[in-house]
Amino acid sequence: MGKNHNAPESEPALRVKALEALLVEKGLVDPLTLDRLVDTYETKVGPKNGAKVVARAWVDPAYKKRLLANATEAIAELGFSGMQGEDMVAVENTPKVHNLIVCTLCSCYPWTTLGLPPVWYKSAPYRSRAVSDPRGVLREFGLELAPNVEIRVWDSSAEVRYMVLPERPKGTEHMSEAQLAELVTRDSMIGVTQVTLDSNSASQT
Amino acid sequence: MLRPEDVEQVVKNGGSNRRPGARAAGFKPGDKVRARNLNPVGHTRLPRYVRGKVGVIQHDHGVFVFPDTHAHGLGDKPQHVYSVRFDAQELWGENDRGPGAVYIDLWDDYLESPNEGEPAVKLEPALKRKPTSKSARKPKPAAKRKPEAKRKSAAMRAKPSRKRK
Repeated sequence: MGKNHNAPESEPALRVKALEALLVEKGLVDPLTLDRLVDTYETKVGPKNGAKVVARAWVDPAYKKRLLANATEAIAELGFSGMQGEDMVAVENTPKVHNLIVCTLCSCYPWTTLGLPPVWYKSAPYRSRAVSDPRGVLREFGLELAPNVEIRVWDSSAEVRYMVLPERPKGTEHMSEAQLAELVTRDSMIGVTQVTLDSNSASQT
Repeated sequence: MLRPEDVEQVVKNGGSNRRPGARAAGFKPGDKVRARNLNPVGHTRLPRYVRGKVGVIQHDHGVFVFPDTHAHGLGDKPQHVYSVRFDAQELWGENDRGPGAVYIDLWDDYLESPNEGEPAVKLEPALKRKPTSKSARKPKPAAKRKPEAKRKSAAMRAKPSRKRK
């Protein structure tokens, strides 16, 4: 990437560079500030935070109760509060209800627990079809739900940020909280997949 | 300007758009509401696909800054934000895709009581003037609305969430 002299940079990349140069020139942003922000979300904050929240909820019924009643506070207990996680709600998957997160207006996403959103989450097709044809979207992610399962789509159009509490897979009764956290994927916390015993080996881009 | 040395604190603490203090709520959980068919020129967080649709308030999130005024430098105008459940059939029409709903967070100013839109149709002078045909006329508005809703939802499916236009 970037080393290929034949491929010009994409239009959005050029536009971002131009914008950043302008903002820096006008003294509105400090480039070092931008670097630190990018570094924070690329290397420090990510879906591993959310996985810890999920694993704790699976092993600790009292914690799960607190998480579903007031996710902002329950997540803060584990130290994952902050920007784009100021007002959190966790929604629980059950055998009868499957939850899916989207932001149809832009790309709102729970940064504190899931990091930055994947590219497809910000794409127009996902944003429009997640609300109008969630079952079809899930099928394309390889998840075929029984016809009687209710799908609840959460459109993060305001200030509240959502994460899914996936179902704990069968056959994990013997596993420790840390082992369980290893199983939990980013996609399962957006709600486009379920957690399985081998879900962590699946690649995520 | 955000200084590099403050990044850690800002990332850690964030900055909620929640506003303290009590404010009158227009609705309560369980209330039926209609998303108003607003079409502002500027910024709004009211997606087009819910405009004019009827849903039910699930939860009151509390009081937050109102983006439609805040984005234009017209003040915070803090008000209640609710989680509103819209049935998939209400949004997209009859389909065989199984049970489902969209839950969306909407500010007080985006909502009205579902009956508020009705009187304008019911009190139409033409309907009142001819009481003789009332039995024949009465079902008409309902029958008329249906195909329109269907046509709308088909158009919505292509791009349900454009902010502008």
